[in-house]
Amino acid sequence: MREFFAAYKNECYKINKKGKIFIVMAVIVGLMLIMTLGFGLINDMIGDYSSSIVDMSREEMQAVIDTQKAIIENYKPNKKVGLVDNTIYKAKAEIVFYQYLLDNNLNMSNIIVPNTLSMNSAGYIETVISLAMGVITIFAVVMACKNLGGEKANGTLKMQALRPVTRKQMLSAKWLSVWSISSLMLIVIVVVAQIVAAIKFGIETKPVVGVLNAKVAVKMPYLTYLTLQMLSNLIKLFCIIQLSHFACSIFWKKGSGLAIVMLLYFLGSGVEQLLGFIYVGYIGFWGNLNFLSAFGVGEAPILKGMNLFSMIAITLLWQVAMMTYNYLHFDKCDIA
Amino acid sequence: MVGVVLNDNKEGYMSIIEIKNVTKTYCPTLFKKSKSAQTSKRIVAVDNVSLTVQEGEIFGLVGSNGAGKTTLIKTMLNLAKVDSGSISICGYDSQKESKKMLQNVGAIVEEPTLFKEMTGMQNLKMLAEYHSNVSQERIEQVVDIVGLRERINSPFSTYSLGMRQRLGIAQAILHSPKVLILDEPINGFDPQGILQMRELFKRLSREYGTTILISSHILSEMEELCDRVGIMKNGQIVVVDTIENLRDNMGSELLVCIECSDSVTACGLVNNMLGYPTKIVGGKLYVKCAKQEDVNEVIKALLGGNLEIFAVNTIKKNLEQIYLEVVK
Repeated sequence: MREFFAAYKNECYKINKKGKIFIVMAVIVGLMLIMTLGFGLINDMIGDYSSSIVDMSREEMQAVIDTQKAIIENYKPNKKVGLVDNTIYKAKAEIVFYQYLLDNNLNMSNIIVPNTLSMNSAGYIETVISLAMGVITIFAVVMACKNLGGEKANGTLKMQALRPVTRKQMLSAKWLSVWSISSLMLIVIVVVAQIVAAIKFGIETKPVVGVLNAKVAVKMPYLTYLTLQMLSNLIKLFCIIQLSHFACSIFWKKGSGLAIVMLLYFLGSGVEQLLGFIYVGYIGFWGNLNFLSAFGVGEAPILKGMNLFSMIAITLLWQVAMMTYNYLHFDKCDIA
Repeated sequence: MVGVVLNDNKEGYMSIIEIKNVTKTYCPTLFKKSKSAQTSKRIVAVDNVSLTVQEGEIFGLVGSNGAGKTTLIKTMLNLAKVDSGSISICGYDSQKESKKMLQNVGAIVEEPTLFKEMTGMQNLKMLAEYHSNVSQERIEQVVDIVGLRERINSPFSTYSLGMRQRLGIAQAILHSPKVLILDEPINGFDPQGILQMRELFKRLSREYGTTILISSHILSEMEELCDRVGIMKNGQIVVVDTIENLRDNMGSELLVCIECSDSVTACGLVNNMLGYPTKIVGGKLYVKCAKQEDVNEVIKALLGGNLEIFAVNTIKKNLEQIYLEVVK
């Protein structure tokens, strides 16, 4: 284990060369500050509109449900590829959400809807997380591509492979270092954001209502919601790092790996129709981990009839397959 | 082409590196095609090589570019996977037990590539973390041994090739390994540096019993340093022996240098009477003889021509000449 910890420590050291972590953190904090100021402006601009949503009557909620039902009835799905469009799931999510409120005699004033830019603590945290995740994900992808594809291309991997460490330990140290550092960055940012949110909006005491895969709505304590949200984001980071190593091991170049992952990350939802079944695990995972947001269930399962649990299973299978490939390939390949 | 000489046994030594029938091929295409297409296009870098290196020995590996030296070294260090055969170093299978093997091995393969942004010292400290027996004192000692004291705190990116090689040697000997495997370690060194490294390698072998396998194109250096050499050609080791044995066994021609009273007359005599190739360089007569008996004939002919002979020297072949004979 000594060799593994040495490898892990060295990988962390390399990631933070020239204080990279602090630079990325400074960028996120800067964005957060701008966003915090922006929140005040938005609050001033749409504060009244926001109040009107809170005050929505039972009739108005029923009207929203009816409108969404009409959208579903008139919807003509794309039958060619058997894939399900996002629109219908968004409509279904809204129906489930408002029906839950009606059935439980709840109003927006009794619950938290943790949507981005909502004028509450949960909305603020949601916005910070999505903003921080954008920056941290790019950081994680670049670091993962650099420590495998980059080091293979420039020859430094060879020098590490001359130390008494197994290939499995080397690879584990590489992904674990990127994952632990990026996760730690996210946790620190969220803790800071929570403090800012508590000062700005007060401490959240109301429960959160979210929609599971556009089928079931659930109510949970705010802290549970936050913990689940953080966990899902840490898993996302883990997955994107595995994907980066997978992409790098195909061409053994930092640039190629980076290009593949960035393409999937940014154009993910756009290319899902093209990549279809190959892509099912990735999109299934990526889209459905957002299930906790009430109106954020825009991302649909790829195949009809899939629910959240089958998506999780597919995601796990996809991850296991990718990790297995990474380990087997790295164990058998020529390092130099 | 001279016949293959394989003298793989050295008395009083125990084999520490054992290579048995190792073959390594590369597929030049990015995407693997059909099996038959792969077979026809594969480049054989190492072709059924077997070799034994004894404990405490300094073994030299020489060969032209593309002969397979570096690939053989890479397979020994598990940087490249073998297609067939086995390699054992210090009793450990290098492909299956690489971690244990590498605890006993220090190496440089091609040009040492360390982290550019980090200083030499930072790089050494980072690599030292992997070994339990490397203290700060040992790092300092190694820095002095390789003569990098003045620049050890400069970034690696500012190092010249020679300095990079010095740092490469430093990281290789850091953990006092039993075996050193060095691929072109003295490339880029100044003459003084070459001398220092030669002394270092000899000292490591003599005082600490370190086994050294070294590949280089600087044949004069290999001749000075190595107990035995192996010459590689087209992925195969075609000759393995001590330099002395190679001189004695390789080829039948002898070059004789004769100092006599009249070199020009002597040259005419040898040419006309015996028909041996001759040349006069610096007033001395050089004669190529096929065997030792021919030298006696030459001397008889000169004495018969009433010439005074002051000295007769048989010139030994150096490694370069032997190498050229083997690879031609």
